[in-house]
Parts: sequence; C-alpha cells; structure tokens
Amino acid sequence: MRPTHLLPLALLLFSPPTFARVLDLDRVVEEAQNTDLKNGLARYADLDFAEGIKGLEQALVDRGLAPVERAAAALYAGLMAHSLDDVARAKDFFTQALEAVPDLELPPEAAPKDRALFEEMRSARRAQAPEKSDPVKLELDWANEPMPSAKVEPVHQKWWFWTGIGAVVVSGTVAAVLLTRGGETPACGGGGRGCIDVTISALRWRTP
Amino acid sequence: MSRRALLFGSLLGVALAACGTAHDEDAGPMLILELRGAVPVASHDLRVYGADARCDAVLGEPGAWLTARKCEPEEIDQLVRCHLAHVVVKPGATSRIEGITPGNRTVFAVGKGAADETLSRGCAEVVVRDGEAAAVTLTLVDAQ
Repeated sequence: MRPTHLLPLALLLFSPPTFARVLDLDRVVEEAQNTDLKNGLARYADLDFAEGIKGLEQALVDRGLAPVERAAAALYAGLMAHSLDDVARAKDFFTQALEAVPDLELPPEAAPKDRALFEEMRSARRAQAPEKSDPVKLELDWANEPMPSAKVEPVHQKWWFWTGIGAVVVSGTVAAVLLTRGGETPACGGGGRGCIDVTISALRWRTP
Repeated sequence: MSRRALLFGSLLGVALAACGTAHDEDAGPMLILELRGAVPVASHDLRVYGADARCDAVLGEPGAWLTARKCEPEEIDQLVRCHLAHVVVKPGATSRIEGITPGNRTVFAVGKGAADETLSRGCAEVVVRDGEAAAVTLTLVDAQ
C-alpha cells in the first residue's frame, strides 16, 4: 500500500472530532415538502445536472423553505453547476448554501475542486461578515436533527382574525347608532306643517 | 324564498321595529307577527287622520275610514271621516309624508296585493310638531 492511501485513514484517526453539519441527501429528499427540491435533488442523483439546477433554482424561490432545505438546494445546485464548469453560478449557489447553514459541510463524495471552491466561498463569507459566525451551533448534531416543519400559527395570531373582529365591532356600532336614531326628529317642512316618517316592518302572513 | 329566510326576515323586522319605536312613546302598541306562509305585499296604502280617528276606531271599522276625501282645514280633528294625507308606497323603504298639520295624528296602513286586494292592516298614533319629522313604525297583521 502506498503511503498516500494511508493519509485519509490517518486523518480520520488523528483529526479532532468535528460537529459540522453534513447533509444527508437521502433524508432531505425523503422529508422535503417542496416538489422542486425533491425533483432537483433526484436529478442530481441521476446526473442530469442541467435539469437539476433548474429544479433547485425554482425551489430556492420558495420563501417557505426551511434552512436545511435551502442549504441542500443551493449546495447541490452549486455542485452541479461546478460540474458543468459554471464557476460563477457555483460560487453563488455555495454562498447561498452557507448563508442558510453557516457550518455546512460538503458531502463526502464531493470532488476536491468542489471542496476548494466551497471553502473559498466560506472564507470569503467569513471575511465579509465575521460577526455572524456562531460557534455554539457547531456543537449540535445537525445531521440527525429532525427537519423543521412549517409552524402553524394560532388563529388569534392571524391578521384576519383581529381584522374580522374589528370589522364586526365597527359595523355593529354603526348599525346600533343608525337603528336607535328612530326617535330623533330631523327637520322637515316648516311653515306650520310637520311630517311623518313611516316605516312598515311587516310582511303579510297567511295560513298555508 | 325559503321558510328559514322568511323566519329570519320576520325576526329582523320585529327587531328593527323595536329599535325604531324605542324612543317614540307615541307610536302606539307593537303588534306581534304571525309566522306562517308569506304572501308578498305589492304596495302600502297610507292615510293620516286627525285626533278624532284613534287606532281602535279605525281598526274597528276600517272600511269606513278608507275614504278618498281630504280634510278641509276646518274639518281636521272634528270627527269627520276625511284624511290629512293619502299616499301609496312600495314596500321596503321608509316613506316621508309631508305637509301634516301639527297635532295628534293617526297613521293607518293597508298592505295591498298585486290585484289590489287587502292583505294586511296596521295603525299607529303619533304626535306631529311644526317643522319636525315624527318617526313611526307600523307592523301590519293579517287582514281577516
């Protein structure tokens, strides 16, 4: 065995433990709610990179995407763009992935050139916004964390709930004021004459 | 129109009538509706009488009071079967009857069907003052 073959093993044995987040692609695909994300990641697995990028770009438009899903979409879009030698788009995608999950790591199968570009983007991002790094997050086992699901807001936190109540109160008050004005005597006629406002409030009812 | 809608409409009518007369003690007693099958009223025939024509007298002998004659000034409040005003209105909106000589007045309403048949009647008494509009709500009941 050549010495170079022992290098990964040596690194594995002697490197300090790492808690950075490595995405489990199968799990992301399995739990993803966004169809474009699912399809895009499936295209990556099928090596259909052009279509995969399209799908993941569509997925990234979705503002409701969870951070892990967003990171997965951008990361794999970047890998596919880099495979197609589109370095500029790959950089952009990698940056988006790191914005979603700052401690994101590339999957083990990533090529060295991908890893180099990805780390370049990580360094550039850290140089631009060092205050945003949060070392506490590194202690979490992100790979096994359950996928965040969409939060269901209680009804009383919905905008339409209080708007509806307000509308009912306002309209009820206006109706009450209008209905109780029947006893008022607005001016009419004059010159020794008055007038009568007649309201008929009945229908005619007959035995069937 | 479904029976449920009719029931709702009639209850709403009663509620509106109650609101309308809450501040008008001269409007006369409230009559309660019978909730049975409805026949649409095509028009309301409204007549205003003087103080001599109280509601019990008018409703006791309605035919005698459906006069076409308008009172001369000297006949008002003098036990003469004439009216101060006579208008025919479509159902639904509030009708203003102008030019009424101030005093105790009686408003007699007859609901007429499409063939001018009498369907319902109602009466209310009200005090009219110079330059003011007196509000009155009439609840008509079946004319038997």
